[in-house]
Amino acid sequence: MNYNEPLLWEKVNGITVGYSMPELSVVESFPQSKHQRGSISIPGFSEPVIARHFTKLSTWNYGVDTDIYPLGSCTMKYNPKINEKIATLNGFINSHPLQDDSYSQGVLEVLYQTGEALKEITGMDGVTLQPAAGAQGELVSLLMFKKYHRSRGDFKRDTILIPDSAHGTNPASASLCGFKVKVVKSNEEGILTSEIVKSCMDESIAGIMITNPGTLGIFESNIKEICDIIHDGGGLVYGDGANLNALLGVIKVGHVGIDAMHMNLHKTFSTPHGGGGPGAGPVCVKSHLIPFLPVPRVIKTSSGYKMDSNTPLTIGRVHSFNGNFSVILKAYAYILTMGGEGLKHVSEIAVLNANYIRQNLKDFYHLPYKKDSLHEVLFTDKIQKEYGISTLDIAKGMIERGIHPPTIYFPLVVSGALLIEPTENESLDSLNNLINILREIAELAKDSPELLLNAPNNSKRCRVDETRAAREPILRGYI
Amino acid sequence: MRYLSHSSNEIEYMLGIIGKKSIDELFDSIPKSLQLEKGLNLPKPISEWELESYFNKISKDDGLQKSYLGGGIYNHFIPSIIPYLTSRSEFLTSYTPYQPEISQGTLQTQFEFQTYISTYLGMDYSNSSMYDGATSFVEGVLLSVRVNKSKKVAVSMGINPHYLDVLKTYSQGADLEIIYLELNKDGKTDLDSIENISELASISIQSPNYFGVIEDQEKVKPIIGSNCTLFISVFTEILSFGLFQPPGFYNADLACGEAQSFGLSQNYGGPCLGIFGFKKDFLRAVPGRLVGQTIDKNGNRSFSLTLATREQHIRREKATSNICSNQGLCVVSATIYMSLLGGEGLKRLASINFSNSEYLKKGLINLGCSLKYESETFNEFLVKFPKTFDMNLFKKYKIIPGYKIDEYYLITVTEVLTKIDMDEFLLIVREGV
Repeated sequence: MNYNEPLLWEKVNGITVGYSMPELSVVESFPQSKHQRGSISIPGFSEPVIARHFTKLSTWNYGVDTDIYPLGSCTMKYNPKINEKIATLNGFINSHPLQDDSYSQGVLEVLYQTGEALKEITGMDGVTLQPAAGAQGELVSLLMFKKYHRSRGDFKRDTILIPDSAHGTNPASASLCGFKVKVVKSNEEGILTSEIVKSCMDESIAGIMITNPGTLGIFESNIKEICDIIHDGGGLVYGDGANLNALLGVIKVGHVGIDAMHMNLHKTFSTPHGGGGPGAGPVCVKSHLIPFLPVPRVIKTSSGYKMDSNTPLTIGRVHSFNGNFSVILKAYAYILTMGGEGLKHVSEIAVLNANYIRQNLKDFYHLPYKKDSLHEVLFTDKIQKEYGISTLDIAKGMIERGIHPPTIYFPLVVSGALLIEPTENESLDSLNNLINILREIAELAKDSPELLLNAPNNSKRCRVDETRAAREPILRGYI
Repeated sequence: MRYLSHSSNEIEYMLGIIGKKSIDELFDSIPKSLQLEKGLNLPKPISEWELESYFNKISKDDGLQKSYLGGGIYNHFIPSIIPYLTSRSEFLTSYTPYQPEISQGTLQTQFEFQTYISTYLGMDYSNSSMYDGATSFVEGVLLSVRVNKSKKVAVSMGINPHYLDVLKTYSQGADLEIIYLELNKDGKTDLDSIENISELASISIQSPNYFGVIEDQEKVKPIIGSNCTLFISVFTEILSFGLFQPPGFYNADLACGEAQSFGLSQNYGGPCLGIFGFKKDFLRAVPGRLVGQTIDKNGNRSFSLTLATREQHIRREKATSNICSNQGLCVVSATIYMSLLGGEGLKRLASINFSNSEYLKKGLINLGCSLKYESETFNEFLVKFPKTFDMNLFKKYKIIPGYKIDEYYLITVTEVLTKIDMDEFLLIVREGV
C-alpha cells in the first residue's frame, strides 16, 4: 500500500498533549527571573496520531528483519530479540550512573564480564568499554599511543601510517589527535607488504592503523612481520576491528602483535544499528597500554565490583558517563548465547557465505583482487561501465528488486566498488536470491541499461536528487 | 545455533560450489602459525531461558532506590508508546540512511527532529545528533578552534565536570589552552575576567549549570562585542527550556548538550543523545550528520543525508570531525517525546519539575538545611544538611538523597517524585536532626 504522511507540523490538529501530565501535587512555583520563556511553537498530538505517524514512517524503511543487508565492512547481522528484552529489565534501565557501586552490582557485572570476554576474544590484556562508537575507539587508542610515547620521553613521533584502503575515520581520528597522516600503499594484491611498511618507518612514526582483514575482505598475511617492523622502529600498531567478524576464534589479534584494537559491538556482536546508532566501540589493549586507558574502569574486588579511577597516566574520560551501557549489555547477551564455539562458527559461516557469493558472481562482475576473500568480497562496475551502467545504478537496481545494496564506492582504492558482506545469518535461499538479482542486473546492463538508469520505481521514493540537497540545503521546516 | 541458517548438507553443497574440501580451507590465506589451535576460553553456549534467568537474577537488586540523583542523567517518565515504536524493526535494525529511496522513515524522522530541536533551542539549525552531551560540547569547542584559528578557549566551571573531563581528554590531541572561569558566590560564572583575554576561540557556559543555577547568559555576547569569539551555550537538562529561555534567545552561536530527558531511560548513563544546534554561519563547519530536503526523480518531496563533504568518509584527515554515526534510534525516541508533549506540554512539564524541586528546596531550608547558592535553579540545587543529621538514615528508607559534592548534596527532583515522596524525604530530615 502506498500512502503519504505529512511532516508533523503540517498536520492541522497539533494543539493537544498526548501525554498523561501529572497533577501538580505541590503549590505551583513560578520563575522570578528575567529568564522565563514565553510560548513554544511546537505542535503536540494525541497518542493515536503519533502511533500512526511513526508507524507509517517506519514502513518506508528497510531493516535487517526485512531482508539481506549486505553492507561490506558494516556487518549487518541479525539482532536477536531476547537481547532487546534483556535490555529493558528494570534493574538496568533504572540504574543511575552516579548511584553507589553497591546499588549497581548487576550493571557492573555486565560491564566487567563483557570486558573479560572481549579480552579473551582478542587475546589482549586490558579493556575500556567507554567509547560510544568505533571512531571514538580509534581516537582513544591514538590518544593512548601519544601518551605512551610521551611518557617515555619520546616527543618526536608525530605521524601515523594509514593504508590507502582504510576507513575515512582512521585519518580523521589521527588528525583529531594532532597526528600527521602518511598513506601507505597496498600492493597489486590488495595487501600491505613488509617492504613498503619498512620504507615508511622512521623515528617520526608513532604507529600504524591496520584493518584486518582489510576493507577488500583480504587477510593482511604479512601482519606479523609488519607489526615487528613497527615495533622495532619504536612504533605501535592499532587494529581497526571493523572486520573482526571474519576472525572470531580463528586468530587472536593480541598474539599477532596488535597493541590496541577497537571492536564495533553493533557489527560483530549483533547489537542493532538503529538507523545510525547508538553503537559502542570498546578498545582492548596489551599490558603496556593499560596505564593509559580511559577512566573510570570497572574492577573486581573481594567485596564486589567497583568503578575505579585510580589510574594516574590515564588519557581521561571520553563519555559523559560510562559508555553505551545498554548496547554493551546486548553484546554480552550475544556472547553468552553463542559461547566460544558458537562465535567461531559465526566466522566460519560468514566466510563461507561471502565466498559462495564470490564464486557465483565472479563471472558477472569484475573482481579486482584475486586473493582469497574472507567475510566480504569486493567487486567493481568495470564490466558494466562499458554499457554506461555504474555502481550506483546497480545499487538502485537491487533496491527495485527488493533487497538492500552493498557498500558502494568504498574502499576508494578501486573505482566503482561494490563491497558485499552477507554475514553468517543469511540462509542459502537468501544468498541465492542476492546472486540471482545481481546476475539479472548484469544481464540488464548489457541488454536494457535504461531500466537500471531509471531504477528504482517501486520504492517509497524514486531516485533521490542528493546533489540538489547539498546545493540548496533545506535542513529544517518552519513551524 | 538458532541464529545460523544452514544445514550440514547445505554447508557441504556450498563448499563444493566454492571448490573447498573443508571450512578450514576457507581460511588458508591466514598463515597457519597465526591460527588458534584451541578454541576460545569462553563458557558454552546457553539457551534463551538460561540467558533470561541469569540477567533477571543479576539485575534484580539494581536501581531499586528512590533516587534524587541527576547531574546529567535525569529520571523522567517515558510514555509506553516510545519503546513500542522504537522497537519496530524498521527503525531498530536499519543502517545509516545512505540509500534514501528505502530510508525515508529514518530520514523524515531526523528532519522532524532537526526542526523540533532548532525551534525549541531557538537556533537556526540542528544536526541529527551526536554521541552524548559531553562529546557534543567538545565538538563545539573544536569547531570554534577551527573557525577562529585560535587554540585558546574559555569554559565555565559550572559545566558538568564530566564534560570538562572529556574536553581535557580531547585537548591532548588538539593542544588546547583551556581557561577555566570560576563561579561567583551566587553560583553564576564570573564573566568579568574574560574581558582581559585576547584571541579567545570560544566561551562556553552551561545553563542551568551543574548546580542547577540559571546563568545570566545575556551578558555573554555584549562582553564578546565585535570579537569573533563564539558563544557556546551548554546544557544537560533540555527540559529546562520549557520554562527558561533557550540558547538562541541569548544569541548563542552553538547550543551543545544532552537530550536524554526526552524519552531515554537512565541506563547507567548510556546511550545518551548529544544535541548540536548552530547558527547558519557555521553550516559548512559543523560535525555530524545532516538531513536535508530535496526531491526525487518524479518531483516528490524527499529527504537525504547531505553536505557529506564535511565528513570523514569523503574528507578523511581534513574532515570536520571523525564522527561516523549518530544516535539514530535515540533521535526517534526524542522526536516522539516532543511530538506527544508539544510546546504546551513541555512548558507544563517543566513547570511541574520546577515546582516540585522548589517545594523540596523550601522544605529543606525550613528544616535548617543551607543552600550553597541562593540563585534561581531548575530541578537541581546544592544543599548542606545540618551537622547533627545522620545521612545514613536515608539508606534505611532506600533513598538516594542526591549526589555528594564535598560537604554538599546535589539534589535533583523531576515529575516522577510526588509530594508524598518529598514529604517522606523531609520527614526523615526532620526526625534525624
